[in-house]
Amino acid sequence: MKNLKERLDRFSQELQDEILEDYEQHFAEGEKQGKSEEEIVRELGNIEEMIQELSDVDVESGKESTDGAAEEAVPTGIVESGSAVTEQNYTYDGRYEAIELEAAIANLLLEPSEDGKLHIEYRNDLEEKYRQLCSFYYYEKNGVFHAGVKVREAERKVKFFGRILTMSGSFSWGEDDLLLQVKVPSEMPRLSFTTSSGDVRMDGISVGNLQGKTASGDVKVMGSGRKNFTSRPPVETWNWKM
Amino acid sequence: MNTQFKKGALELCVLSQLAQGDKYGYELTERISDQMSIASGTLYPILRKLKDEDYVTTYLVESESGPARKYYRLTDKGKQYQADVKREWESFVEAVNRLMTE
Repeated sequence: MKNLKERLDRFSQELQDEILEDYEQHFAEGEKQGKSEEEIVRELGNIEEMIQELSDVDVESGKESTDGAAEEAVPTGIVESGSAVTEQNYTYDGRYEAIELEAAIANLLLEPSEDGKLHIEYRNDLEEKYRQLCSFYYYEKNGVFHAGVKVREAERKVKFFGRILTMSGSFSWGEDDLLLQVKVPSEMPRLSFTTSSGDVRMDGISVGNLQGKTASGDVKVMGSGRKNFTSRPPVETWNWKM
Repeated sequence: MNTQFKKGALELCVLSQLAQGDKYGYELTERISDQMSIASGTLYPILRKLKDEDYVTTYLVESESGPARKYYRLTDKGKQYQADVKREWESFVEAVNRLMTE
């Protein structure tokens, strides 16, 4: 036990306490079964192996808390994320200097706002197990409105069999099952978007400066006073005045 | 054996045992080590991880002798997860079996 305590030293106090408690209890139960200490120690196995396992746990939970901290640090940030959420809306009638959208794998639909307000709607009609992997967020920082979709990797699945299962971890769904729809107020000074595989459609919006970037999404721009165009991957980055 | 693979398989064993009823740590390690040779100690970090991810919850039950037992129970999320992983395991095993014989 002393050895175990020393080996646990680099983990958080809470984690140390919990593992020590688990081990103590394990010993107590084993002794009740009439096992000798040596036997129990042998069954519990190599401490290093357990520590290795624990390191994975700790790294993972550590990562999560850093993410949380980053989100909290956003000044007037409103971060919405819900696993079971299928639809979320947000409306804002003030002025933003810019809009930055990160849709990731979601499709992005940009339309002009009819009432001058910014409306954003997130729709997630994916199957339950995929739905839980996606969340919607939005916040305002220094006059810039940010919104997007975050995708938690199907990390558990990937881990399960190493590479083998990453294939079945890939998503497939119907058109617009995962959609971020934004109604953009007129004369928006700047708008930028990025998507990984999400398609982008823009119809009749007027923005001062438009920037876009997508890895494999299709982009379709219509009725914006310039020549309509459709672009298919591979697409790099645009930057143009409208 | 590939450690990632082993870890995933162990996790499925833990989830599946809990799907059949709540168990305390020692009971769970005994069940599993009855069937396969593992270092029981490694199950505790796995349980901890499952708890961090809300797949299991714990509760204490006073024991007639000795310290209170910490029981593990699958959450609804955990049940769903167990079902998903089980399905994946089965299709994986089927594929391996086919490849070994055909």
